[in-house]
Amino acid sequence: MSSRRPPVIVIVDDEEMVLTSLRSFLRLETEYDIETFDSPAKAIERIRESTIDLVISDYLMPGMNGIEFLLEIKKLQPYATRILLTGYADKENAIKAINEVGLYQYIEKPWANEDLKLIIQNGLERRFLMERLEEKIKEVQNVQQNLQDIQAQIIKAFM
Amino acid sequence: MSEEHPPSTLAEFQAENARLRRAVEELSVLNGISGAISSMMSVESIVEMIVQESVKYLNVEQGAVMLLRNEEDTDPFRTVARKAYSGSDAVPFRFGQQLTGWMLKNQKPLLINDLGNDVRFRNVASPDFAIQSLLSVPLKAKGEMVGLLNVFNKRTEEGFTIDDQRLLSIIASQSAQIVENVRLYEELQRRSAELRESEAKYRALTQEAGEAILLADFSSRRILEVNDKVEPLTGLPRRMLRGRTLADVIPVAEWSDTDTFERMSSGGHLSYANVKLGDNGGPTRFIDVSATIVSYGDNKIIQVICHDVTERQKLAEHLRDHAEDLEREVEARTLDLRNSQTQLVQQEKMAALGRLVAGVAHEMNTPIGTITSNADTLSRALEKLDKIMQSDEIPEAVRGLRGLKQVQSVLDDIARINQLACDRIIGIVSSLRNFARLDEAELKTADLHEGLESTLTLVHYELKNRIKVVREYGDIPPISCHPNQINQVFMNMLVNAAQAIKGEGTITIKTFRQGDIVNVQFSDTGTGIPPANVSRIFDPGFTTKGVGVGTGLGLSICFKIAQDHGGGIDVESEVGKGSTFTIRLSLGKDTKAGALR
Ligand SMILES: Nc1ncnc2c1ncn2[C@@H]1O[C@H](COP(=O)(O)OP(=O)(O)OP(=O)(O)O)[C@@H](O)[C@H]1O
Ligand SMILES: [Mg+2]
Repeated sequence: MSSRRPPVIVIVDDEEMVLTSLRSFLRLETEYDIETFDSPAKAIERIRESTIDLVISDYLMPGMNGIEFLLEIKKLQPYATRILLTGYADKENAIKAINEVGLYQYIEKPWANEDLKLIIQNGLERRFLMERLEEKIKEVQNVQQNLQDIQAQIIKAFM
Repeated sequence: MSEEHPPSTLAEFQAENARLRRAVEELSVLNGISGAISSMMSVESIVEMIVQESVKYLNVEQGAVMLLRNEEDTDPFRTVARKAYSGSDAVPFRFGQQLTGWMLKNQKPLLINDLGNDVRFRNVASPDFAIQSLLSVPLKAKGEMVGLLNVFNKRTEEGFTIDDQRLLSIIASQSAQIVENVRLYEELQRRSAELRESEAKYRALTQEAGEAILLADFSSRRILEVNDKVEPLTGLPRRMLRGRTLADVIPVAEWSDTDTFERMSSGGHLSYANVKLGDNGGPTRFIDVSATIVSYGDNKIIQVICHDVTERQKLAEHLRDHAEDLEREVEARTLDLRNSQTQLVQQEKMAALGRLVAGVAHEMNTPIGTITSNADTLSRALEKLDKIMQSDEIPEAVRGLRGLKQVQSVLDDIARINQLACDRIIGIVSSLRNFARLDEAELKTADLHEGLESTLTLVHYELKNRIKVVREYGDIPPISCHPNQINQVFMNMLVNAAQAIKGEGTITIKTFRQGDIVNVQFSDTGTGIPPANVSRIFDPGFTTKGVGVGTGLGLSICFKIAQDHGGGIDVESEVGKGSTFTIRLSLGKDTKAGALR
């Protein structure tokens, strides 16, 4: 399944310089499909269209803060891994949001590239595990349904 | 008397005889009187004798000497001696107004033999005996009438004669001087009695009065008499006070001012409040002085009344002291308030600075994050490029290009240095953040060495190559504190030390534990503090640095912070050698710091 397509990563930050450096680093070091947006609204539009695997959001942005944005994403695509990129002073808010938003991780600015790479890798793995788990549950449910159907036919046959 | 014509008849002879006899008697009467005077009899008895002799000699029922009164009265005459023929005191009587008036007006002898029928004098008052005839002659001294010598009711048929009148006149003129003397004497007596009386009264008054009273002679200003109250007031015995001048005893300049005394003489009085006594060795006393001039006959006397107001003065002084105490206290409290106010202001400033620093640090996160990340990405990219260049697909010719190698190595160097530079910036930003520690308003358990290192990073610029920092960190546990405040203390200590070191020097930071106290000691090789200043360096506003360089608040705030952390600051300093500041901080959790913002 993961081999089918490269993982889609969405990055949202109102600062062009942050978007560029993250994109440059990830393109150099990974095979991910990187999409960057300088506003939460644009990102939401995009996310409505098709499945994404991981989203990294800045905290302080005009219009909508990172937590509100990630909450929106949680509704739209619950399996996408959510990561908050915060300044030191916003750490407290990030910590508060962990449960509320179901935050996978928060990354402090200034970040270390290597750490970021690892966190993204783990986040994606989690996301695919979650998907696989979902698929398995569906399979089990299908099997169960089949079994029920068979059961029903058997009962009919014996009635 | 006519001696030239001898008597021709018996009658004449008899008459002459009688005349001679009378003359002899006259003379003997006058002799007796003169003798009495010369024998220095008491004046009362002289007057009585005059009356007695007159009554006997003129052969009348009664006689009296009356003197003019000095004072106003309905009866201008006063009877001083009164005799009846028998020698006993005569019954009293009064001259009526008409008789008195006549005598005062005419001042000459009056002879009346039939008073009852004399229309001029109807109402001679005499309740106990009736006056039928009278003979009254004025008593004159230095030409002025001073009284009357009277005889009443001639015991012979013929009544008063001219001879009687002449004889009584002679007696009167002889007696007048005596009577005048009597009058003067009596006056003297009366006056002295009065004086004695008033003196006694005055003395009683002055002795019993609550006030101290001094009497002094008007012209010499010398003290004549004092009452009992003066002794304790001046500390001088009465005998030593007498004869001194007023100025000696009561230091008031006006005693020698003639104008003042002129005014006092015409009824004015002198008064002074709070005159201080005791410069003569006596007790220190304060008196209100009031002086007036009183007259004793012809003598003028200065009467000085002293009212002891020492208690009042003491009370006033006490009040003044009390007021001064209050003032001092208010001043001290105001100073306290001002100090805590400046400390508050300074703390507020520090907090504002902290917020600023934190804000700046936060703003720097994004660009620094970007640069750091880019530097890393660049290194990785260059590494990849290098790998690509090494691959077989790249022709040897391209790989061997000299320019390419050069560009690659320049990019490598830059990427490496950028990364070092970024690490440095990240370190400073995190120190700034650590120093401000805005997120730590409550007590935190903090490692003091961490705080010292953060602070040292920030003052790195001040110390640079000039000052060597020696760390002698001991084994100290983390303490419960406000890290941002403690860092402020470290900062001020380091800055003060750096400013005290002219040129090169060393700051030694030593940490060690003593029971429940953790010590952080900053020793510098700076200028040192003169002993006179040591006690003042913790005063808010005390600075030896120029205007605009130091606020002088640094140490006062440090001291307060150390106190709030259950400790304090000790100083040791030697001019020319350096100073050591020891910050004592309590380990414990129950310090006052918990109550701080
Ligand atoms: N290490 C030291 N060596 C010599 N003198 C010192 C030292 N520390 C303090 N002082 C003296 O104490 C004074 C008061 O110090 P304080 O820190 O209270 O104020 P300041 O340093 O003058 O001003 P500010 O702290 O506002 O810059 C200084 O002006 C200086 O004279
Ligand atoms: Mg200072």
